[in-house]
Amino acid sequence: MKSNSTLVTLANGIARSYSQIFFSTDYLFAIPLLLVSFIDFSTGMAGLISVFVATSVALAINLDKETISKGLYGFNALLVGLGLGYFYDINLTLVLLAAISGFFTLLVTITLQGVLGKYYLPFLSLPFVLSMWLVLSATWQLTSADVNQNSVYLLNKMFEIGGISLVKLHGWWSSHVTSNFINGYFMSLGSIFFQFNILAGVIVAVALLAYSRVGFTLSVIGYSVAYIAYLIFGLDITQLGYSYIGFNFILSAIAIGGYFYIPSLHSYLWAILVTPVIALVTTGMVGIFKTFGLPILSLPFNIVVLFFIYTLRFRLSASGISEVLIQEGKPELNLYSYKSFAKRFPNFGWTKMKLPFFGSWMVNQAHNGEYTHKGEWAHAWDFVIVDSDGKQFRNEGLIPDDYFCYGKNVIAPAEGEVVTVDDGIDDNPIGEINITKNWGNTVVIKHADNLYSKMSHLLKGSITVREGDRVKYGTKIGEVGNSGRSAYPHLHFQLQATEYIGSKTLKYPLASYLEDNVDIKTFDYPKLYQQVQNIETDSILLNTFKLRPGQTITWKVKEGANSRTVNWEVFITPLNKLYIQCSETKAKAYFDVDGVFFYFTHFEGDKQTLLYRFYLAAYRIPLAYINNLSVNDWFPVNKTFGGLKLYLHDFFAPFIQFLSTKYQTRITRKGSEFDTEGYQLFSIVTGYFLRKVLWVRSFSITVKTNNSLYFKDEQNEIEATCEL
Amino acid sequence: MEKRVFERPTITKLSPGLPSKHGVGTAIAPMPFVEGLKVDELIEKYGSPLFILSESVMRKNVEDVNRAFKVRYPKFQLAWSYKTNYLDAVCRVFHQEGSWAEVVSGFEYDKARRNGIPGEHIIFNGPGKKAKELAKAASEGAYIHIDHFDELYLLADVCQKQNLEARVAIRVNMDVGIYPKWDRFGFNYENGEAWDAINRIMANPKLKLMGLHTHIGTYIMTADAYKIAATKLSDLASNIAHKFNHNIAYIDMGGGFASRNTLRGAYLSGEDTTPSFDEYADAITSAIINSQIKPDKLPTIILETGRALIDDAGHIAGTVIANKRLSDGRRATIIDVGVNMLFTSFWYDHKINPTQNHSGLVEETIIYGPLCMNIDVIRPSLMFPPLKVGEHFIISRTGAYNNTQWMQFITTRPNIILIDKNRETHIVRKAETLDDIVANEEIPEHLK
Repeated sequence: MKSNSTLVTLANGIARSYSQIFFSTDYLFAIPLLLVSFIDFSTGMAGLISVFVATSVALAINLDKETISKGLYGFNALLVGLGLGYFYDINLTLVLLAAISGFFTLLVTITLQGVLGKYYLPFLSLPFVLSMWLVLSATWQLTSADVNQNSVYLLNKMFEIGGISLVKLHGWWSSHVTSNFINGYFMSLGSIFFQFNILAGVIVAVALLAYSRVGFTLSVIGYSVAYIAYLIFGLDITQLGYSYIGFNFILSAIAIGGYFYIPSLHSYLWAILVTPVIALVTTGMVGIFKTFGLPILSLPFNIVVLFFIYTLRFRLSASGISEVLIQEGKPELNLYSYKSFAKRFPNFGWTKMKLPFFGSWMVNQAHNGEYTHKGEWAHAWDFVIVDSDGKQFRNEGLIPDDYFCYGKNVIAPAEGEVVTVDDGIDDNPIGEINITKNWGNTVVIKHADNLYSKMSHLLKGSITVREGDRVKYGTKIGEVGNSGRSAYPHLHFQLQATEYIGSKTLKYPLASYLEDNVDIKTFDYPKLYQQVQNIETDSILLNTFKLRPGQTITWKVKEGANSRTVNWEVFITPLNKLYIQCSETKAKAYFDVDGVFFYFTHFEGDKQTLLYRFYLAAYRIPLAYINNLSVNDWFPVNKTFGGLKLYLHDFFAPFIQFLSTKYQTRITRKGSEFDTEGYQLFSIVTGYFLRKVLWVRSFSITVKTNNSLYFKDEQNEIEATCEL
Repeated sequence: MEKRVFERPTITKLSPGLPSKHGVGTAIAPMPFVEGLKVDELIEKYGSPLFILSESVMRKNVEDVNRAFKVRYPKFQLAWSYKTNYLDAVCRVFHQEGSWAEVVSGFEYDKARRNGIPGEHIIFNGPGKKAKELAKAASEGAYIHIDHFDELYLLADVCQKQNLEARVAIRVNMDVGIYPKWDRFGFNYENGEAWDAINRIMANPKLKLMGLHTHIGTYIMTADAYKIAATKLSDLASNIAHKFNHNIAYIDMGGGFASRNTLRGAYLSGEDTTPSFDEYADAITSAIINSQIKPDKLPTIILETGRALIDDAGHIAGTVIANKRLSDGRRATIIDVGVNMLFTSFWYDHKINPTQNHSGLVEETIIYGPLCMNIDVIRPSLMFPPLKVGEHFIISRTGAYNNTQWMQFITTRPNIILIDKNRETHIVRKAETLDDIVANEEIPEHLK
C-alpha cells in the first residue's frame, strides 16, 4: 500500500511537472507536452531523466507529497534536463549529467522556495535559470559530451518521426505560412520545451487551447503585444521569434493575466501593460549576460512576474485586479469559483455580529443619519420599538415609561469580553439631553482585535455586566434607558475599533438579521425605518443539516425499477473545510453551516452522482423557518454547464458572463406549528444564456422530525431516502 | 359666548379643614367622543342604549401584548378566548391579528370553525366536553386540554373506538400564593395528580401530549403569581423531558390578566393598580427561560387572555330615563342600561361619564337600570353630576363578557356597532325584535 502510493505520487509528480510549466496540474495536458519534448529524443530523454531524479529524491527525503504530486518540485528539473538534452546528444555522459542536474535543481528549488516563501512569493522557474547557467558553464568543460546537432538537420528529424507526409506538411507550411508573426509565436511556444520548431509549437498551442481558453488567449495577447512593442521600439524582431526569448512574454501574460490573478478585464490589461516592461528587461539583460556568454532563458519572466506580484501586495485597497487566494490550478476554475464566491460570500470569515436585542425593533437612525450619525460617528444605528402606526410610545409620550423600548433588555451582539462600563448617569426627562455625558450609560464589548461593539443611553443602574466579564450572544447587559444625549428612549448601537467610549465608528456589517419580517439578510446594514430582528434557527433543520466529520449517510436510491445504496461520509480538511465524499465515486461536495444557512461551497467529481444532484438541490438551505421564505443563489457556471457551451464561454468569461445558473428554494412546513412533521424544500435550478432559459432542473427535499431525509430529482425520477 | 347650560341646583355639604381620605372632591369629566365620533350622534343614529366596540383598541391591545412577549421570548402565540366575546366580528378582528381560538364548548368550537379557524389553531378547554365534540376536535387536530380523569378516560375511549389520534394537554391547577386558589379545573400539581395524568397520557399511543396548561384565576392583580405558575409548569415540562424524552411544544399560561376596570370594593382605581402587559410578560418569560428547559427546546408560550384585550374596546352609551329622590335623601338616576346587558356591573364599579358639559358639582347618586327588578343596580353609589332626563352618558370598559353573558330579560337587547380604523361605523349585531325572541318558541296545539 505504501509503495503503491509512493509510485502513484512519483508518476503524478513526473507527469504534472510537464503541465506545471504552464502552471497546470492537469494530467491530460501533460500528454501532448511530454510528446512534444520527445520530438528531439535526446531533449525529451534528458528532461525525463532529470525530472525522474528530482521527483524520486524529493520522495526519498520525505518532502511534502502533495507538493511533489503536483509537479512543483519537478518542473524546474525537467526544464534543466530539456535544456541539457537540447545542447548535448544522448549518451551515457548526458544521462549522468541529466540525473545530477535534476538533483541539483531540486536543491535550488527547495532553497528558493524557502527564500521566496518568506515573502509568500512563488519560485516560478528561477531554479531552472540558476541551475541551467551553472550546468551550462560546467558542461563547456566536459569533453565527453557530444553536441546535439539534431536541430540543424530538422528535415531528417521530421522524416524520422512523421515519415514523408510530415516532411511534405513542413514544406507546405514553409511555403504558405511565411508570416514572422505567426511562425514566431509557434517557435516561442515550442522553445519552452527546447523544441525549436513549428511542429512543436503547433502541438503546444493546440494542447493549450484544449486545456484553457483563458491561457491560450493570454498567450496570443502576450506574444502579440510584445511583437508590436518590438516593432515600435525598433528592436530585433527575430530576437523575439527565433531565439529563446518569446516565451517570456507568453508565460508572463498567462501568469499575470490568468494564473496568479483572477482573469478579468483588469488582469488582461495588466498583462498587456507589463509586456513592454518585459521587453525592456529582456533587452537589458541580453546586454548584460552577453558578457558572461549565458542565455537569459526565462529570467525576464521570473523577474517581472515576481516584482509585479510583490508590488501589488502593497496596495491599500484590493479593487481592480484580485490575487487568487485559493489556487485551483487553472485560470477558468479560479475565475468561476471567484465570481461565484465573491458574489456569495463577500464577507467570508468575518466576525458574526447580531442585533443587540430580542424581538422586532425599528431603525430610527441608520448610518449617515440626519441627526447625530455624522462624520466620524456616521456608522451607528439607533433602534426603537414602534407600534403598527409607527408610534414609539403609548399615551402622550411625556414620560420615558410611555416608550415601548424603555426598560427592554439589551443583549451582547456576539461573544466577547466587556471592556468598558459606564453607569450612574441619570436618565433624562423626555425632550432634554445631557451634553456633558453625551453617551450616557454605556457598555463596550471586545469581540476581536480592533472590533468592539458599544451600546449606549442605557437605563441608569440597569447594567448587569462588569468590566472583564465574558459574554456570549444573548447575554443581558442592561436595559434601554434615556441617558446621555438622548431626548427620548432609544438604543444606540455602533461598532468601533477601540475600547473607548466616544471612539469613532467602524463600518462593519451585521452577520444576519430578518428584515421587515420576510427577508433574511446576511452581512448587511439595516437601513432607516426597517423593522429588524435576529433570526431564530429551527432545531429540526439545524440538527439535520449540521453534518459532523465522521458522519456516514446511507441513501437508499430508487431509480425507476432499480434500487441501490449510496454511501457518503463527511470529512474535514486540515484547513477546517467540511466536505461530503461519495464513497464509490470519490466525488466531493464542500459545505459550510453558519447560523442561518447550510450551503455548498464547492463540488468536484462526477456529475451523474447522487451527490451532485444533492449539491444542486441543497445549494443553500435556510436553517430558520419563515413561512414561504424563498432563497436565491447563483451557481458557478462551470459546475452547471459543460461541453462546447462552457468551452466557448471561457473565452469571454473574464469580461462578461453570458451563462448563469440560478438557484431558488422555497420552504414549507408539513404538519402544524406545534406538531411539525418536517419541512419540504422545493428547489429549482435554472440555466440561462443571458436572460433566455436554457434548462430547468427541479428537486425536492423533505426533512422529517425523526432526522430522515427524502430526496427526489424530479426530472430523472430518482428518489432517495436516508436516516441521519 | 356660548350659552351656559342650566343645571338644577344641588345642595352640597361644606367640609372645611383637611381633605378626607377621598381627597378634595370628585370631578367627573364629560366624554362627548368615543374614537373621535360624537356619542350623541351615534345614539341618534343607532338608538339608545348602544354597545360601541372599537376595532383599533382591540388591535392595539393585541399588538401591546404581542410586543411585550416577543421582545422577551422567541415563541409566543395568542388564542382568542371566545367566551369573553364571541361576536363574529370581534373574533375575526383577533384572528386577523394572528390569534388562534380558545373555546370551552362544542358550540364555541363550531363558532371558531365557522370563523375560518382550522382545527390545529383551536385550543379546546373546559370541563364539559362531550364524546362527539372530542372526536371532532381530535380528528381536526385541535389541542384538547383535558380537565379531569373522566374526560381523559372518555377521550381515550373515543380515540380507541374511532381509531383517532388526539393532540392533548392537561390543565394543571396549583398553589401560586393567591386567594382564592382555583382547584376546581384540571389536575393538581402539588398532590401529584398532574403526574398521574401525564403518566397515563404518555402510556397511551393514541394521545400525544403537546403542552401544559394552567389558568391560575381571574383578574389577577399581581404578576408574581404568574411567575410561580410558569416556574411550576416549566419544572413539569423539564421533568417530562427527563422521564419520557419528550419535549412539549407549548406552555399555555391561560388568561386572567386584569383589565383596568375597578373591582367593586377595591380601594384604589384599576387604572392605578393593574399590572402592565410588560410586567406579566417579564414574570412569565423569565420563569421559563430560567428553568431547566434546554434553550433549543423552549416551548411556545400561549396566552388566552381575553378581558385585558377587549374590555377597554367596549362602551355602552345610553340615556337618562328619570331622576328621583330616595327616602334617605339620596338621589337616584334611572338609565336605560340594565344589568341584563351590563352583566359586569355585578362586580365592577363601571366608569360612567356624561357626554355633555356640566357645572362640575357632583352629588352622591345611585344609578338604577330600567328593569322592574330590585337587583338592577348599575352603580350603588357614586359621585355624579345631576343629569337631566334625555341626556346621554357613556359607560367605559364593557367589552369583556357582556356580549356573551347578557340576556334578554324584560327588554330586548340593543344594537352593537363597531368603529373601524377609519372611524366608519358598522352594525355587528342588530337590535333584537319580538320576532327574534319568539323565533324558537312553539305553541302547543291546545293553546292556539
